[in-house]
Amino acid sequence: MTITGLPLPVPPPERGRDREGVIGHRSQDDPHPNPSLFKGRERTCAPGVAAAISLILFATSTLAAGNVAAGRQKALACQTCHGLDGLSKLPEAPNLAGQPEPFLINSLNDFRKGVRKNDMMSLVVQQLSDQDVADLAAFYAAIEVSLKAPK
Amino acid sequence: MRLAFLGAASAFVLTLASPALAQQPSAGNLEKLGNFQQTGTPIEIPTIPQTGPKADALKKTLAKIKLPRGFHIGLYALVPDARHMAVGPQGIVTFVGTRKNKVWAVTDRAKLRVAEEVKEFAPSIAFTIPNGVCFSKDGFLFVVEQNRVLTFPAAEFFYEGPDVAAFQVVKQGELIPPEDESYNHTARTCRIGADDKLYITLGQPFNVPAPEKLDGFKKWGIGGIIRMTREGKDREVFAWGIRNSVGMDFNPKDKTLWFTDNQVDGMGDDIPPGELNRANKPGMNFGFPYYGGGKTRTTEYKDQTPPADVTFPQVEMVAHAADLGMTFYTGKMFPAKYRGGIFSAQHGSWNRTVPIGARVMFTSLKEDGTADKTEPFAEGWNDNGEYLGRPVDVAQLPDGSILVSDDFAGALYRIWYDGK
Repeated sequence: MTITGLPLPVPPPERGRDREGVIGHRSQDDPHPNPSLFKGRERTCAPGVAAAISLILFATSTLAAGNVAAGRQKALACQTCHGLDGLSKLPEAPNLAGQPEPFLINSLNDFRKGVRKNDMMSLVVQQLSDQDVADLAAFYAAIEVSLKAPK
Repeated sequence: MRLAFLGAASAFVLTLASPALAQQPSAGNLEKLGNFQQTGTPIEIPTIPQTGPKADALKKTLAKIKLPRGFHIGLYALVPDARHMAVGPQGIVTFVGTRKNKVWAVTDRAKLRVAEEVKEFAPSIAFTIPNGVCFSKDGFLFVVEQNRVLTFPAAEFFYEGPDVAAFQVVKQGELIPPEDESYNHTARTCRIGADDKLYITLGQPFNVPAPEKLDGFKKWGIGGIIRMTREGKDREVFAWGIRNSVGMDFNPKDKTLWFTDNQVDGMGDDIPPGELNRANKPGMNFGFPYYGGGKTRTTEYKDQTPPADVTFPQVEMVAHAADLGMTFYTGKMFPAKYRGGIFSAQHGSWNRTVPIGARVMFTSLKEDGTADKTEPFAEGWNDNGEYLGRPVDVAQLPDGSILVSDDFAGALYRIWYDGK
């Protein structure tokens, strides 16, 4: 964890160990064990079911689970381009509100690995840990959006 | 949070990613306007509503802004994407640039010190990042886009209609080589000097440019300030070694050119410092990319010998606060302390782990014309790291009050003094 000055949750030991193993060599073939469950947890499950799934994920996941509140706090470093509402503030920045969580995680990790390059993103991901990525993805994925197609 | 997307994503991307396409309808229009012909653009120009929930919310934010005793701040106008400002010499209209495709004309018709009318300026012309706006004393408005410069004679007179007398000072694609056009550091600012020349800040597009880019950039003045006649002739590089200046003004007292500069990212939260610089002659080198801000050497150029004649900043600002627009205060409304000093805007950091900035600074000068003290003047838009607004530019109104633009809130604020 290299972000300084922000209140960050201390990960439990087993998650911390997992993170150690993951840094720097997570491959595209090793996404979250069940991305669809992961996504559903945030949106459509009944609270009890969601809690149960969270527990299962917590026990079986090899990745850090994202925390929405921590993600919102960390997103202060993203707000000038992507907005705290997840809507783009610059012509060259994408909306992040409601993006699929696994996509956000993969995108950030691609920047971290150098697979994707962008003047601004390649710079800011240097200070992100796996936990930061998970929290940011959880926060932006959790923003609800409604759509209105053009007539 | 419920959000409505009004357009299809594909249409959105097309519109924004194709400045060349957007440019086409205007090419003929510009020629017509140069010949004082009509373009057939509808005569009624839509205006931006100035009341409603957004105005009310901004007024609540302004109640939290801290100012020295006797000063007050109020909402002057809602202006979408408001960036740099040019107050008309007749005091009728304030023109406001954006980083998108519009220039706004802001009018306080009733002289209530609140603008009741905000409408698009020259809607028959398609602009691309028309950030830089400035006036000559004889009423010519200059608009500096990403890669073109236009001038509008008697803009304060013609702006009421959609067709405005317009001429090209620098044609599309001739301000910088088109292959160097970038979305990054491409918002220009301008001023007319005492020599009646047009001065333009040209940011270089990189965080730190590669060595092989430097010769070309130096020739064009990219990463510098250029000047030319008001007709676009005799272009020369006035100052060099600048990373990305987005604000400048001449000191009316000694004619020196002062400018802000945004410094290198990725070196940590607290270095390098932001800059307020002073150029008292042409041909000065301000040290970038050998120095990334103040006397901090860049990692990329740390093994190279910097030029011997580098000029360091007059003021080192807090790191990453993004010092942008600035103006010398020549009014009489504010107390003596502020007369002849500099008001400058800090946009606020974009990637610092704890956001900093989003305020207006004041710098006083010594008798010899160098910087004395710098202090916060208006602050409170940085609400524990969450931005309630992001100041971009400061401009002075004829009555001696100042305007502050905010491209996050999309507004202009007015700050006045009554001593109470």
